[in-house]
Amino acid sequence: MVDGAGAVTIEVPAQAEYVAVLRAAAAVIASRLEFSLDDIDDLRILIDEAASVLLTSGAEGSLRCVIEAGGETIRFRIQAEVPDAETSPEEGFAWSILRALAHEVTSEPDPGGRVIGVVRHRGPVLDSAL
Amino acid sequence: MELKISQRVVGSTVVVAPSGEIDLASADQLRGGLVTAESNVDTGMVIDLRGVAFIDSTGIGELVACQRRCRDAGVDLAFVVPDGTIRKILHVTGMDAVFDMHHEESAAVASVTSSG
Repeated sequence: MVDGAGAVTIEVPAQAEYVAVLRAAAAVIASRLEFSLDDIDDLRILIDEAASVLLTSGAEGSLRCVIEAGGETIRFRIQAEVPDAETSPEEGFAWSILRALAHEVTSEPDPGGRVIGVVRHRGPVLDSAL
Repeated sequence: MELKISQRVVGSTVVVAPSGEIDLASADQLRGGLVTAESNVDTGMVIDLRGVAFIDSTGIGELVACQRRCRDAGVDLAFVVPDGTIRKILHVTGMDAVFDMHHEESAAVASVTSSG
């Protein structure tokens, strides 16, 4: 599924019950790249929060997630149709977590809705990992 | 992973122990379990997070709401949080400065007992 530089596309219904599928996929891909357990934990929460942001914005239809894995970096983008694609209230616990655990996080309007993009390199982001 | 919520009484303290994964899909269930536990509390309550494998912002929001309800009801609330991913997420969100967090259940129970 992942050869070190491939992309995996997953589409799940835009329902809370399916976010666990995205978490599991991120964990499998990161573990195949031999990311550390801490990094895998971080990726699980990053993909969860990105999906949750879209779902709580009223995402409809499906969540389309593309995960690209390189040697030192995993980047993913999740896209969904949301009622108000122009508005992105980037506040709250979800955004605190996304900003703290990602090396890069973006939220952009997209012709079909909104896209949350996350870049995470190997190794801790936090200065003082607990 | 399904979320299960158990409840036990230690002395005069109600200890609620969710077990499994807390996310957008299970947050309502967590809230139900916490509200039920709160109705059985006299002065002290402990939320034991040792069995929680995953928690996200939705789950943390429920813990904050529980703390607010407890404060309004005059109930002392403490948490059992082991080192690892759950403690890290609570740190990232600044909740380690807001929650009364302990590594051991005995310390958490003692905290809500002594301050009550």
